[in-house]
Amino acid sequence: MPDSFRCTLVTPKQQVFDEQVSYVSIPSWDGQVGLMSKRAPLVTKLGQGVLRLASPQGGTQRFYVGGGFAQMKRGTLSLVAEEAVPEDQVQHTDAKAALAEAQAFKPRTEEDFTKNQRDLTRARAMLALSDTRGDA
Amino acid sequence: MGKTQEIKGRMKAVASIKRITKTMQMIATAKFQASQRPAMAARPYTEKIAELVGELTAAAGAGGGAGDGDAAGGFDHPLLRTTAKNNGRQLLLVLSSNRGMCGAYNANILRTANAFLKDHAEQDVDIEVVGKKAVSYFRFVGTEIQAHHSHITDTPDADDVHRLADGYMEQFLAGKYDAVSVVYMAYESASRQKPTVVRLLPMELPQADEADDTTTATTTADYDFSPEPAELLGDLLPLTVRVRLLQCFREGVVSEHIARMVAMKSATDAAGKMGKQLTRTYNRARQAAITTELSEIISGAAALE
Repeated sequence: MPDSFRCTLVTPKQQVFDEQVSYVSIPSWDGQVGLMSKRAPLVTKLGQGVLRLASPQGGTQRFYVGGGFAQMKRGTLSLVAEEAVPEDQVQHTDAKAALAEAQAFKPRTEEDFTKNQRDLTRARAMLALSDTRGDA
Repeated sequence: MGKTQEIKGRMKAVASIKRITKTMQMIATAKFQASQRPAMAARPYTEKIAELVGELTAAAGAGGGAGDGDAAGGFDHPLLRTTAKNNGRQLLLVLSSNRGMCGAYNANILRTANAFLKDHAEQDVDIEVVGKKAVSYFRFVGTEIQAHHSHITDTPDADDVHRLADGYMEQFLAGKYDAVSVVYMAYESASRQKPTVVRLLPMELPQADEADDTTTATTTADYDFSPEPAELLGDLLPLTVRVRLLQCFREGVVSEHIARMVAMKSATDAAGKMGKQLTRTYNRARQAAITTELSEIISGAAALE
């Protein structure tokens, strides 16, 4: 069995995940980052994207994560996310509809534009998550 | 006969009051449980955020990981700055309830708000208010309020609260206010709530030593930061302010429901006691009437003989 470490995922709504994992791939602000046991202490900002958690018994869980922070400290990875949606709650049709809606939206203000960009990235990440289901 | 009728009327009134307060108590209990869940579920998040802020400020302050000179001043983030720019103009946000029937809940909050105003009597304090009870109080005492956020109800919407927090941060950074504080009923446990004044801005730093059992200097120095600590803090601090304000709202709501629950329970108990007393008085009066009637009949019959 590969070396495992503890990983927790909390959102403003609830504690989503708290288990031993062997490998984690987090969507950092500047790209996907892979973490394994005995990683040096790290603090990083999360972007929007897919979080992948591999358990030491085999098998993976995936989440859509929308921004937040990750901290690796004394062998524990803490993920503080603004939003986390488990893979099985992401519906292909919903994601597609959200993407179409975001693409149709015409932002007029700076604020709308940033929000629209967020919606687009979110919908694309969700779509990617539902499209690759099963082969993760 | 008139007296028994009168007592009967009061008994009916007391019974229906009891029914109402009992229902209100049950509603408050259900609402309390419903509102407690999100407030408690958010705690790990809030704590983790606070811990991160503590570690980052320590790291940024020590210059650890910071490449250039000005990034090293993590302690010097505008949201943390305490310098008086505007001869001490302050903002006080009072979180009261929209509805009454919750015992001393609003009275306690308003008393605390008043104490705060008295402490800062020599400064200008602008008051903003959530909940109708505080509005009517300040109107009664003739204190002007700057704003009444009536759209935030007892199910606080995260987006509304975030917008409010963003507004405060903007005003604070623009130098309109030197400090922003919140008065709310802090929820400690189901049996303990305390009216509390919390300073939202400038932020009070969480004790890094407390969040960390080992010495902060050694642990933080080893961190890999991405991006630089100062930049991370730039994102994290506004988030912290928002989360804190939201926590205030949530705890306030939980405390309100508890206060209502307790107040309605004692009202129900009092109504029950009064009902019992009234039944006794009623029976006594009825018995007295019967006795009088009997003795009248007997004396009437005796007079005929």
